[in-house]
Amino acid sequence: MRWLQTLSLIWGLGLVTYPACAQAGILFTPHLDEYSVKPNGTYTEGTLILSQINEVFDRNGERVELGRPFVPAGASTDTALALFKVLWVGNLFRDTRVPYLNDHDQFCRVIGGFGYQQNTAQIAERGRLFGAQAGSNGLADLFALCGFYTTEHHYGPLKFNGLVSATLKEPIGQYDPDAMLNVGTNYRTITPQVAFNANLYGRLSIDGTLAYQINGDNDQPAFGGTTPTRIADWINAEVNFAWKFSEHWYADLGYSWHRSVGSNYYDQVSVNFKDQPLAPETLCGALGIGSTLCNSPVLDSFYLAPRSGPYADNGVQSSLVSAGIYYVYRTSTVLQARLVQPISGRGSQIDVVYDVCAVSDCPGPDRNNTGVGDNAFAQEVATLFGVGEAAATSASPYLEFRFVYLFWAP
Amino acid sequence: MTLPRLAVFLLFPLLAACLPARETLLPRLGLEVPALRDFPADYRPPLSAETGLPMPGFGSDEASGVHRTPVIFVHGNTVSARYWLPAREYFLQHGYSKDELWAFGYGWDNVRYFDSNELSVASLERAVNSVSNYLSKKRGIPVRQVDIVAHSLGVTLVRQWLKQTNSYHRVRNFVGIAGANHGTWTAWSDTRGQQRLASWELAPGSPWLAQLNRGGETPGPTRYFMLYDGSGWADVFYPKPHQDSPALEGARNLAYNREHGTWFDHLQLPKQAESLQTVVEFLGEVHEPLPRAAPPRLLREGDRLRSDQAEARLYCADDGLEPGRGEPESQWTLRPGVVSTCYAAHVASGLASPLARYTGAVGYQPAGELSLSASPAGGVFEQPQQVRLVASDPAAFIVYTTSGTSPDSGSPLYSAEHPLYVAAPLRLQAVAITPDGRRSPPLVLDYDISLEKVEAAHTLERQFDSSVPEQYAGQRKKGR
Repeated sequence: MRWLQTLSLIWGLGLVTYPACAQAGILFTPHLDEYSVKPNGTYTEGTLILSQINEVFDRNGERVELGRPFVPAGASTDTALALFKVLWVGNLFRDTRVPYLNDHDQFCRVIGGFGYQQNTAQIAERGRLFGAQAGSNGLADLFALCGFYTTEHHYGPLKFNGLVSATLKEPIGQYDPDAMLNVGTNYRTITPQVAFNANLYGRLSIDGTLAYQINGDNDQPAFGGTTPTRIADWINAEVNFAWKFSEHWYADLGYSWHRSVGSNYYDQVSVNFKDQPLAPETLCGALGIGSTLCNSPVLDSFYLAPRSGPYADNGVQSSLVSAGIYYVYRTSTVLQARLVQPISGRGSQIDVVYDVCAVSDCPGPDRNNTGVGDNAFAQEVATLFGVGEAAATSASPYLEFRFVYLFWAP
Repeated sequence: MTLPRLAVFLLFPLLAACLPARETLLPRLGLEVPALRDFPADYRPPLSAETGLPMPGFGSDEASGVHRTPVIFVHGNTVSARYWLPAREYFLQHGYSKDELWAFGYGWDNVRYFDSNELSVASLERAVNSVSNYLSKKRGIPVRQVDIVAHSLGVTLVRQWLKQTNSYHRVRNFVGIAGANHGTWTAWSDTRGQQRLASWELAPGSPWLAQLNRGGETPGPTRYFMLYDGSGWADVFYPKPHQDSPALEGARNLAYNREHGTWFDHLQLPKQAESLQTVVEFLGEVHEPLPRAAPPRLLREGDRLRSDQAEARLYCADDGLEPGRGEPESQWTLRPGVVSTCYAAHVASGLASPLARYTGAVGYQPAGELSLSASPAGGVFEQPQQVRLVASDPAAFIVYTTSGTSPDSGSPLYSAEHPLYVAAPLRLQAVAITPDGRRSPPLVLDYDISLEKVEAAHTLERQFDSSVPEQYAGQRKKGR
């Protein structure tokens, strides 16, 4: 019964939350001297991330068009994420006896935001077959981080410094277990991060970071349990090269990479057709099933029931390149436009076992201890895409606009 | 969104907003703000003119002694006296004693408020007086001079203090590191709140800078040494083509990075052994003042000036210029209608007189009672003001201060061609002085310039073109 595998594409592809690559931007994204020791003061920043996701990566690293083959080309999930950031740089321990920190500035940052996500009509329509809401708008998760700068070292025209921080994510964002898309994630994370900034000849700035994101569990997975319940930790690494043309104009190129450490686990898979039983001709017509089952004269309807799991994927991975241009307006205001293009990746997919029955009590009690319910006459394995930012890996580019304002310009 | 989530969403930004408020929150909680206070027990630091609290910093110790001219370090914006600890260490390693090394956290001494040149002059005056008085008492003989090493905003602050308090004779050497003597591009008009004043002061071409530099960039007997990047890349405040903004005409100017191929940035330049070596060498180039010598004084005999000490020499300049360390004269002849600015210096003692101004009195006819008026005559304003001063006697010249000190004849000279630019909440004190030495009653006016409400871009335009209309007419909300 290969048709269930095909069926899975429908809901799997429709359930991408905001692009996984945007997740990196929620922490510190290295560009324009992100990790250099900044003058003391308060900085505010507004970031708008726009993406039209029409491709994702499967578990083999292949790009797959969203909704194909069940919806026409051009289907997409449209996302907009507005982030508001406040950064404070100073030294709370100045002139105290606290070693090290009294000589090294600290920083804290709070990041909140609002997200908008909407599937195009045909994907939304198909999602309704599975009882899912089409879109999701609302508050994003809240990030708070604090850290400190290390000593700034100088070697001729080269100077560099380090940065150590930890980010906490509080999952306050909009989250509905029945929704296809969610702005929030419903699990906490803590992300220790080290980073560096190097500046050469006052013109070339190199930012790099390595972060280990420790993910908590999601006890209420969304959309029929196709978001992971036990989420693998992540490793994020990014590097960025910025070139200063003048005091006002900069351009940069970046590379970003992340991968999960081990597998994501799915323990509560329940995704299924909302209306059952399913008429064979309906399935054949709607899903393109041409199998023997479809034409079986003895069956006039099917019932499906997924096994809840646990299932494990092969982990996720993504690498992206970015290019941006910056305009610094009188030191207090920075405008930036940045294009980010995924170049490779691997999404989360799991092989879910479905029992197939001819009666509604599917699969029914297992009185004969066969491991299969008595009412099931077949089992099928369906390959489902994992959804949510922990599992889905967008293969589509996104555009980022930033507006940075310094309340206390140096 | 549930209530707890909303609470978290609101609480975190609030917490973040409170983080910079260490200096304001702790006192309200009855806690003392941690500060560097490395002073001996018998020393009482001066009170900050801004905060009213004892100024933090370092200086002196119980027993090291004063053997050479003390050095006062003056920090720049958003840093504190702590910034100079590496420099103090370097100076200690090169023969200085702790008694000879001082630094104070002037201004607001925190990062929440930017400091300004104009408003910090009073604090610097207190600091210099405090060091001189303490060391004089400790040493048992007057300590008449100090050396000053300043950085960034501190450079223009020291220059304004020298000018406003006529203190050139009190400063033997002045080392300015990376100061915005001719402006910095970052001080443009889109900054907000308190720091806007510093922006108005230090924007390239600002009237405040023109006022500071008018009459000569290196006046008085003070030796000037300006140390800066010069490459146009290492110090972000002075990119090309403004890489020589920190240089002063008449000073020894050293574009350190340009000449040595180094890449010390703005904050690094005053901390490096290599650059500090040039500072120590500069300070040591002149001999120490004779400890028990008296400074020379200017004597006027008719229209001739001379010093009360035969070996002392006069340094004078006319037409509003202020004399530097140019060619000395044994005496100076005053001319009618020409304001001469002079000081006397004694090479052997190393001491000098304050600046003083005179006008030739030949043919002068007093024009009745001498008085002085100003327009606008003080008040509350939303915009920086161009203040015009007029003396009842057209032969009189006008001197003024904005530092809270009483003006003397060596105070900044008012020029009718260049109305006085007032951008800060300050007290203007002025006197008119006639050729025969009569002085008008002092004119004391308070100008309360609201820094918070004005619209910066137009205000800057108005600095350059007073015909640009004012944009605001509301009531001020906050002053000094």
